[in-house]
Formats: sequence, C-alpha cells, structure tokens
Amino acid sequence: MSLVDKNVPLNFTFDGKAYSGFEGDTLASALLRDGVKVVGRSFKYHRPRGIMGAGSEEPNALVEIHGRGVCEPNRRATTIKLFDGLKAKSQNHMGSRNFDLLAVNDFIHPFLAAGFYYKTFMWPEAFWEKLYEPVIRRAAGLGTLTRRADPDSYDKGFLHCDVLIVGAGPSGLLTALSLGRAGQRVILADDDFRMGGRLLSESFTVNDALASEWIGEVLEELSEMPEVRLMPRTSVFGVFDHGIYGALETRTDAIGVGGARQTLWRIYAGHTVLAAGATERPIAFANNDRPGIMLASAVRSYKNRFGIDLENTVLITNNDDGLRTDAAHIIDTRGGGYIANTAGRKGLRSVTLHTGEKLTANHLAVAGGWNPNVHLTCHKRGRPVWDKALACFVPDAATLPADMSVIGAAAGHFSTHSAFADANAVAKKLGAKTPALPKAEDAPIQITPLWHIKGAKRAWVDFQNDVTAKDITLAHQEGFSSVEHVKRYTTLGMATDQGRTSNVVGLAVLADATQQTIPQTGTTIFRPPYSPVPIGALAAGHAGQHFKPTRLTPSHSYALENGAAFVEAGYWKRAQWFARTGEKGWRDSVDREVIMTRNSVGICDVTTLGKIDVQGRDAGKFLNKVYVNTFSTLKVGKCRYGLMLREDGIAMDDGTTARLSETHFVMTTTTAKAGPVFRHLEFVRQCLYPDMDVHLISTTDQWAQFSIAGPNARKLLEKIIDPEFDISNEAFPYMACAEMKVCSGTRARIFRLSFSGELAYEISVPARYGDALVSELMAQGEEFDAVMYGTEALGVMRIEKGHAAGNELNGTTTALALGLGGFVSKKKDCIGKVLSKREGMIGQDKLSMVGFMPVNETDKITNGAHFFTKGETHNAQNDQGYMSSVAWSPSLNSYIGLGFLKNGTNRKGEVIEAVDYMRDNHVNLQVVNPHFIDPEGARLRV
Amino acid sequence: MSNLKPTLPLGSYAKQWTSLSLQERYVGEIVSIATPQGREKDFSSGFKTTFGKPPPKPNCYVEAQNAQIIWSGVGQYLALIDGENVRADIDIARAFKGRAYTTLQSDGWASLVMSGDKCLDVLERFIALDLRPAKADFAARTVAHHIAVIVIKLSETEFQLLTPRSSAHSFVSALEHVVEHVVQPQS
Amino acid sequence: MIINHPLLGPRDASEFTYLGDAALMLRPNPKSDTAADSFYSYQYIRENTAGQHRELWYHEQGDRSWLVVTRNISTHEITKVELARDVKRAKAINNEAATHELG
Repeated sequence: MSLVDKNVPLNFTFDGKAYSGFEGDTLASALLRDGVKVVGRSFKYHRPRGIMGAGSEEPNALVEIHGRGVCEPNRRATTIKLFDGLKAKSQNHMGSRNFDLLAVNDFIHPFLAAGFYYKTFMWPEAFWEKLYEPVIRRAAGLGTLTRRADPDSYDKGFLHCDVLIVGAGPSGLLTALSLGRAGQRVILADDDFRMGGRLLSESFTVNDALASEWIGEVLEELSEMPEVRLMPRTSVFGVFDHGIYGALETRTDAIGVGGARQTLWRIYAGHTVLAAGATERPIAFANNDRPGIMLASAVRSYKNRFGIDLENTVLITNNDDGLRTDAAHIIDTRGGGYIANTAGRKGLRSVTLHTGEKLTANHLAVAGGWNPNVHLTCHKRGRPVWDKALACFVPDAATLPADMSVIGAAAGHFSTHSAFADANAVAKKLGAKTPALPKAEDAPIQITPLWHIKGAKRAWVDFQNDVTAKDITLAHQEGFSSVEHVKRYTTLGMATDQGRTSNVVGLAVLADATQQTIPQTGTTIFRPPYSPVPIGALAAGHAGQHFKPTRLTPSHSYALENGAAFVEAGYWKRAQWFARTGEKGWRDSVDREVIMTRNSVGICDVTTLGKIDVQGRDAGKFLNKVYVNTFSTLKVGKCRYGLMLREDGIAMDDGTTARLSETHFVMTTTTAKAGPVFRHLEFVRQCLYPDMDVHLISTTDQWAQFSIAGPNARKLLEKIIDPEFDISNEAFPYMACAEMKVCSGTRARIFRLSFSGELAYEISVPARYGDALVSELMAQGEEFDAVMYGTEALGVMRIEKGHAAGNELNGTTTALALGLGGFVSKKKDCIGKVLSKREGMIGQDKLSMVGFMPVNETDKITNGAHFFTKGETHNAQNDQGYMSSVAWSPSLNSYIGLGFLKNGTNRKGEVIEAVDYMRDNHVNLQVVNPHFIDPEGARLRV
Repeated sequence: MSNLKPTLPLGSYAKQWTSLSLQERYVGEIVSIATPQGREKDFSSGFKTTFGKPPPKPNCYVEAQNAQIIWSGVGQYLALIDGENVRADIDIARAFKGRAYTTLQSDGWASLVMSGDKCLDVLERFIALDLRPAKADFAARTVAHHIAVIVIKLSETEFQLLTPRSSAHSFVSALEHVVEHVVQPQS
Repeated sequence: MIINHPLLGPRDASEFTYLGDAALMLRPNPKSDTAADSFYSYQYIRENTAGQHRELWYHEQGDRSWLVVTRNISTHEITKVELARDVKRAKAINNEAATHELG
C-alpha cells in the first residue's frame, strides 16, 4: 500500500556513503529501507541510537544537511523529504558514528547522572576556564556550525483567513471540505509534505475503500476552491494574541538552490480548528533505547506508507491500538508481562522477558499509549487536564485560547469515525452545511497504563537529552520535586524535541516517586515554538543590507562624487567630511572645512533636521505650550530659537521655529529627535488640548535644506536669489525668514539662521531640486573658494560657538544646566515647567554648561572625562561634573570642550582637573566662557 | 522657468519580471489638506467645490477629475493632483477660500506602480493588511520593512505604493527581494 | 497583537507605539497651589493593577491618531479602543475634576 513512487529513484549520501530511496521517502525511511541501524549517538552518553519515530517527534535521528559549504544541524531525519543529491551526516560523535570515542561516557555513567555538573568540575577553580570548560564544550552539543554565511534567503508574509485548520488528517480534511464548500476563507496547514495525517500510516478504509482514495478526492476538490489555501510542509508553531498564529512553511530542505528556503507566515485567523492529532509515547524499561527499538505507530508508518517490512519484530503494548502492528511475538503488558532487558548495542539482537526467556528480535515496536498534541491549546497559559480513562492529557475547554476549537485525536477522540464526527460538529458550529459522515473505524481506546518498570536500570525516558527514570527519582531525592524543578535539574523535555515522547512518561515516574497522582504532579508550561524555527526565517527580509532602511539626503549623489565619508545618524547617511586629494586623514579635511567656512563660505546639507509644519488659529498658543519661551508673539517673517522640555523638566530638544504667516509656523528639530518630537506634539495636540485649532505634519523629506555659512554667505546667496528679492542686512536681518525664488523661479524658503556663529542662511527648496541646487551653489561658489562641509566641521563650529547639541541635551540636563534658565518665560506655563522647579533640579550647586581649554597648550582633552577640584580625591563624592563635547579647534589652535560643572557659571577662570581613567588621560583645564568665538554675536549680524 | 533640473526620487526606476512589473510613476503634486477646528461643514463644502466629490472615508480614496484624494487622518486628506505645479498648496488653499490648511508634500513621497497577476502574491509577503478582499477604492497608510507606505488598490492587478522619498531606494530594494522570491522561485 | 482602530478597523501592533497610562491625559492645573504635588503624581504614581488598564497608543505608522486602548495586561484581551481626543473631550477619564487643567 506504500505511497512512495518507485519510478522516481533518488540518490543521497549519509556520512559519505551512497544510498538510494524514492520520491515520497523521508531520509529516515530511505535509511531504514537500506538497512542502516545506527544513525547517531546520544547526547550525554554517546550511546548508539537508531530511528525511533516517523514524524516530528523523533528524538534520536538528528542529522546535519550539508550543501554549498555550509551545514544545517539538528534536523530530524524523519522530517526531511528525500531529494536527489541530499548529503546528510550523523551528529554528536568523535570519530565515526559506529566507533565513537566519546562512548567512554556511557561506561562512566554513574558519575554523569542528572545534575552532575553542579557537583563536579568545581575544584580547583582555576581549572574551570583552562581545562574543564574547553573539554566539556568539545563533548557537549549536538550538530556543528560552519560559521559561514547562510547561502539561503528566507521570506516572511501575512495571511488572513476566516478559519485556520491546523492538521490535515481526517478531521482537518473533512472540516476544510465543509467550510470551503460554504465559501469561507480557509487555510489548511500540515507540517508533513503529504496531507492525510494518520490515515497515511494505518491500513484503515474510508467508505470501504483505501483511505488514500478519499484523501485524494477531498484534496482535489479543495484545490479547486479559490478561497481555500492548502499549505503542506507548514508547521503552525505558535499561538499569539488576538488570533495571530506563527507558521513556518518549508519550500525545500536543499541548501542554496535559490528562492526562499522557508517562509515565516503570520496568520490572522478569525477562528482556529486544532486538528493536530496525537503522538505515541514509549514505555521505559531497561536498555529501551537500542537501535531497532521504535514506536509501534512508526513501525506501521514505515510499513503502510513507505512499504518497508522490518524483520523480526516483537511488540510490547499496554493498549489495543498497539495490536494493529504486525509482529512475530506480542507482549501485552495488561496480562502482567513486560520486558526486563534488551541486547544489541549497535542493533537490537534480543529482548529478555520478565520470565527470563530471551527472544530473538531485530526490531521492537513499543506502544505505550497516545498523547493528544495539546501544545497549541496551552500557548496562552492554559494547562491540559488529565483524562484517567484515556490515560493522557487532553485540552481543557475552560482555558483554550479565544476562538479555538479542538477536534479529533488532539481532543482525545482517537477513532477515525470520531474524527469525522468532530469535523462535522465544528463545521456546523462555524455556520457551514456538512456532508454525510464518511464510514470509518470506531475502535475504542482500551489501555492499562504502564509507564516504566520500577527499578529498571538505564531505562530511558528522554532519549534526546539522555534522561533516565533513575535521574528523575534522583532529582526528587535531592529535593527537586516540583515538575518545573525536575525539568531543569534533569533537562527532561528541554531538548529540540521538547519532550514530545518523554514528558508524560517523565511525569508518571515523578508521580510515582512523590507518591502523587499524575494530575497532582501537573505539566510544565508549553511555549512557542512547537517545533524549531530557524533564526534565518525569523530574520527574513532583514538580513545584510536589508537589516534596516537607510535614508539619503538630496545631496547624497553629489557627496559620493566629492569624496564624502558617511556617518549613520539613525537611518540617515550623512556626509561627515569631504576628502580632497592630498589630504592624509579626516583631520586635514575637517580643519580645512572649518577654516574655509569661517574665512569665506561653506555649504552643508541640513535636510535631516526634522521639519514640522504647524498650522492653525491656535498655532502660536500651541507652541507656547510646548516651548519654554513664547512664540505667539513672534512676528511673521521671523525665526526664534526654542527649547522644549519633557514634562519632568528635563530638556528634550531644541530648534528654531519660523513664522510664515499668522497661522503658519515651520518648526525644526534635531535629526535624532524628529520622530519623538512629532509624536510628543501630536500627544499634546490630541490628548491634552484637542479643542485647539492646530494641525501638524512632517515635511522633513519634502524640503531639501542647506546651510550657507561664512563671511561670503550673502554674496554667494545673492548670485542665486532671483533679483526681485532683497537680502541686504537691512531688508533681511538676522533671524528673518521669507519665501523667495532662486535660479529663475524655483520656489524657495530662506531662513537667516546660524549654527556656526558666522553670517549664515538656510535655504530650503522642494527636494526634487536639492541635487541641482547643491551643484549650482558650489559652481557659483567657486569664486569664493566655497567648500562643502560635513557633520564633523558642523560639530566643530557649533562647539566653538558654544551651542548645545545632542551631547548636551542628553536626557539628564535641564534648561538651567544648559545656561538657558533665563530663557524660560515667567509669564506662562509650558510642558515641563512645574516639575523643572523641583528642589533637586535648581540651585547654584547644580551642573551648568561651561567651556574648557587645556592649561598646557599641547594637552589633549577627552570627552566623558570627569571634573575634580584641584587637589581633591578622585571619587564619586567629589565628582564635579563631566565633559560632554570635545573638538580640535582650528580657529583657536587648541582642543576645546563643553561640559557640565557644578556651579560652573561662577567658576570661570578656575583651573580644574579633568580625569579620564579609561583612556589614561588626566589634564588641567581652565573653566571658560562656552562661547569661544564671537561671544557678542557680531558676525551673525553683519 | 526654473533653471534647476529636478530629479525623480527613484530616477525613473522600472523593472520587469514575468507576470509582474514595478515602476516609478510621477503622480503630479501632493498636497496635505487639513480641516480647521470647528469649521468641518465649511471644509466639506470647500472640498466638494474643489474636487467635485465629498471627502473619502477612512481606508478609502476618491477619484476626482484631476486628482485622487486619500483619507489620511481625522480631518486630514492627502491629494495627488495631476500636473506640475510647485504652488499647488497655495492654489488649493485659495480654492478652499481659506477654509483649509494646506501643506506641500509632493517631494516627500516617491510613487510606484506595481502591476501584474502576481501583485497580491507579492504584497502578502510585504504588507500585513488584508488586501485581497479590499475594494478598488481602498487606500491605507501602513508600514513595510520599517518603512512607511501608502497602499492604493487600483484593481486586482494594479497597486500604487507611496513611500517617503529619503528611504525610497531601501523600500524598492526590499520589495524587489520579495518579488524575486515569488516570481522566480527556483527548483 | 491587533488593535481595532475605531475608524480603520483591525491593525497589527507593529503600526503603533505605546506611551503609558491614559492618566497622562489628565494634566493637572499648573496654576493650582498643589501643582507641585499633583504634577509629581501625574508623572510618576500609577496604580498598576494586574488586570484592566487604559493605555495610550500612538498610530505612528497609520493615521497618527492617539488611541485609548482598554487592555487586560494579564490576558492581553482588548475590550475597547477609542480616539483619545474623543475621550478627552467627553472628559471620560475617571476622576476628572476641576483640579485639572482647562483648555
């Protein structure tokens, strides 16, 4: 009855050896068919292990997939769809998987019991870093990483549906059919590459015909429905808030073959039907982990779906379902029988019954009962409830995530008939008509639980993390009796399979040890992801150059062509300086830009500073509320500097605001704070004063803005401003603004503002003209030896001028500290005013901004240095403040600094010590006026 | 006339794949129009006079004679106006007889048109909004790959995307990356 | 998380940023004699129950409206979403009193 296509052979290698399989195989089925027994070594004891399951619950067969020089580790061979050219390798061994040097761990196992690392490797302390840790690191872990870049790309997406059906077994398929026929938007997802669920692995009939026929008919009809989306190879791994689900769709397991290897989907579902089925669990008895010992359900999968007859199979079962397995000998534990031991390190050879009788066996099918896959019902902190009759946990209807229904085996309704019945019930509930119930088996669950053989040695519970029943009882003996403690102490259920086949057995062992019932013992918390999600998929679309967006200024191309080095300011790329041939380093460029700007004229792109359009009858009143100073009195055609506080009185941002008309202002912010200030203004507008007539909109990208600074700034500007506009000092004084035209009719706004301290203007044109304007300015500026200057020169000049900037508006400074205490209007309230008057924020002894120069001309000043009164011990108590901005000043031929000094404004002339232990630089500095050049501001008003 | 040469945000970008094309489309001028507090009725009649239609509802745009106007916020609209007119904000304010606050936004946005059968398949990997059932008057502002985007559904196979000018190249690069996964999957 | 915007319908949380408790809308009267204390409480003191909260969210990547979202911080269930300006105008914040700033 096999579902593999023997007409399509596929070749692959495992540990370098060539094998073959067929289309429809998994790597595991192909290896089994080819007689491979040992597929890897266990985590701690390096015991030889074989394939145990047939699906995502597989704990042993972890392999690496290799391709294009990289490897993907920890993949379960049971979930890899076989493809031609697959190169797989086994994991976790030193030497070959058949002769693993670390198998010595198995022989010293008494010393490696649970929690051994809390009790060993403690002494001597010095040995930890040099010896123990490196040795343990080499021995620990599962697969390897090549540390090379991933050649694959991944994808992300967003899907919307009325109903998400998780699992395409009988219940999921029938539900999809009803809902699809009713025209609902349905997503049917299954993590297998073939839909059909358990029907693919049993020999059940549906409507008296092969189940695969019924599956085929349903899928054909579903695939014709435009509102139904079939998603095989898609694992729904997590339930999040408000009906949002995470799903991982795999396109191929092959590495580096192009396209998106996997897609991470965020699914917005109106309702979810969990039809995720159930997973069989084993029984823990002595040496129950030999290669060849498998879950009975897996033995049947390999037979019915993959056409593999496993030779010499013995069955041990505690329930009726296990009896469906073909076996030469059956041990039904309900009659008192059990297995006392097994033999065959590299492949099962025999099992020893409780009577002492030894049976030849190459495969042992273990049927310990079924666990409904309840995980998704618990991702929102629900817990499952114990069903005594079924001997398993089932979903708790009272704590299900909102809008989720559970049907079929996932709800503890194990027969195919009840799966169909559930499907029709839920489809009806969701408003769809349902077809007649297909005819199917309806066998009841008959189980007498047997979890482990008490006292059995080396009885494995968690195969992947190598946790035995003895480890669990040991944990309890040492006082770790809560299920959460046992989990962490023994690592039960913490491996990549997250305890699929081990949690419930482990709970039962713990319950026995603590002499409680299983429901009293409880479960640990289930968290997403249900199955592993690669970091690459989570980062889809945001790797490499796509990690974050970049914002480019209108003069970016011009800057690229003119030797600019760029700095990242948030998302923006800003020119730092413009290197010219012959210059040996950035200092050459920056010094030149400063000198040329101060001596003639320089041009800088300042587009990145936030621009906010403020319009309305109450615009002035609104600005009065957010700025410490008054703007309602600002005349049309004028600009004013403004300082904005946070409500706690700390300085938030500063800028200049221009008034273009009675009801129209244009505010500027710093580059970094453009977004936060806009958000803050909207908060004030909508949440505090919704009845003010004021509107805000960001215009940062709309206008290209350039600063033109230096003694020749006016002369340069006159060359491009259209003749009808007068920018003489009388007609257009310092802090004036106006709409004008440049270059024969280009709309422009001119603001006479200066950050550098020189005669300066800012010119704003629609961004489409930004590139052309900067070229034109530099062409017209040639007669003045005009330079472009970048953020470094911009910074040097504002420090020379003593302007506070981001370093000073650092989230801890007040208006007082910035020397702007007098700037705060006494006549009106503003955001931050009340709390700025708190005791701890005012007073002479508080920090205030001053300037610093080295006493010794050749000394270097470092930023971040702390100040001390000369002679005092360098400790926190004596700390007098810190340096916030430092630059080499070409204008003064010296290092200069701005910083915050306690009672600074009254200490000018004093020599203090600036101490920098990090860069080992302690210097004597003189406290000076922070306005190093032109403190009277004469140059501004020329 | 201005002797400064204007540049388009994406330099006339155009790219073609099988069953999908993406290209920059100059939309004309973009003007943001806001309603003065307490003057909602005046604003509405000014809107009808200027554009010949009532203002659009949230998640919608209206098609006027020479313009598309998108709802962009409470009392706020974004008008895409055919033709070149660098004083469009002033002209619209005049048309509203001062009963509106207007702001020029033409150069704040780059505009792209995506057309072809695979539009929705691409957009579902890019934008979280439910675009499939959306009608052909749908327009909404959202975010894609950390970048603002205004999505306008022109038809099942044609979408207009507006995105801020300064990051438009990053937007296109991210979008191309997604397109290539959908239209040219290998093996 | 999904926020059901009163005008735009359900939108993914990635379009929004969170500010804090809706109590931030009740800015105290700066002229009052007890302004120092009331501003201190306004800025720093919160009930912070493990249950229903009224929160301020900003639709940064949408229509730039501020919203008052009633959300249970234990279960994450959102039961109400209102435009902040409407809430403020209706003075529908608990304990609105004359001690709060007018206009």
